Amino acid sequence: MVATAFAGFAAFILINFVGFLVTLGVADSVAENKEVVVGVAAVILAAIALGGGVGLVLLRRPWTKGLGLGLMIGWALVSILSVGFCTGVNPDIYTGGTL
Amino acid sequence: MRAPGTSDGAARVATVLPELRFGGLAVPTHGFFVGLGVLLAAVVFVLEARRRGAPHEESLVAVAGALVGGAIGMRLSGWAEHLDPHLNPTLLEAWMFGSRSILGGLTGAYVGVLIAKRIIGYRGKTGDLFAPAVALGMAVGRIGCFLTEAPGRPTGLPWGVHAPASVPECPGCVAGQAMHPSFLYEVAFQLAAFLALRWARDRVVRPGELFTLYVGAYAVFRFLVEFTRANETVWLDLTRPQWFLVPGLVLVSIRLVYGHRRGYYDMLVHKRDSRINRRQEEGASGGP
Repeated sequence: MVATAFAGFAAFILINFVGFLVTLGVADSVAENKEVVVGVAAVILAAIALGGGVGLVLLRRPWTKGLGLGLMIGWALVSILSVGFCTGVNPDIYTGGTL
Repeated sequence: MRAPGTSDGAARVATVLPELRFGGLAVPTHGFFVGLGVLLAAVVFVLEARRRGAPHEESLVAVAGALVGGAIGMRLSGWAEHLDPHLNPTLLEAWMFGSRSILGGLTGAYVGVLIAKRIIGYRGKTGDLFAPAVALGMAVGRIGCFLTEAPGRPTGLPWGVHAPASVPECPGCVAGQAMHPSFLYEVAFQLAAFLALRWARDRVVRPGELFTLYVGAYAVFRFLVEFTRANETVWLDLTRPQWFLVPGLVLVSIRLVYGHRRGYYDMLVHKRDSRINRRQEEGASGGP
């Protein structure tokens, strides 16, 4: 299960990276309310990692458990280590002129 | 370094490093030490889990619960800043704009572990795996706080530090006056706690009691060190973390007296009795 957890963690990093690029693209294409775009992306990312993670754990198959735990650990670690920037939960993104 | 403009010649100027440079790469100092702390905590957790023969799957579930709960808890801690509910932000506002509180993170981690264990139906204790890991992780993480945040309240003590103008404003700070290096006090406490937990782990054998002792010690220390921290006082000269800790201290005191009366900590005070050992090993259920 530890191996599939690492796979889940890697999957989250990939999803986060792709989501980051898509969010930047969409935010660039709108003139106003860029923070809404980032906020929606942050909620979608959290739903995939936490909602999807819990769902996979509840399937109670060895590989789905590991994958689900990896997704959740990935979201939490990236949130803590990037101070919320990479997962869209840092206040500076919305108030500090980052956008 | 002599502090400029004061009569306290022994006071030092705190080093403030918003960023660390590794070659051409600039890394935020606070995030770097938090990351290093998390990494070291993970290593200590794995070593402790192996030493105790803890089941892999349940340990991983507990770690996931702690990390997710911690990440959410530290963000939502701003939700209950005021007793008047109208002055507090909504859950969404707290999530988006909340502070990054260690106490909120630890509380969230505790709740996260409970929920994660409930989801998979695991009743074993995991707190003893977390206690030394959290202590060492926080010792390292607090170095980042010392290098980037207001160090503490004014002091005349010889080890007081002066913060450069770039450090965020702290309530009650007076320009040119030395301040407590409060984060270094916490680094020292956490290192001492880590060593004490390693010493005590073979003496406190009832599952979960090592964690209870650590939580109790940290609650007392944190309440006291808040008198040197640069946090805003809100009522009766106590800060928000102190008011948060008041009910926690009452609960943990009751729990420690309960444990003491049942002999859970007798081995710490050299009451070596094989009957006590057997009684402790009879096991427990519930909480992390």
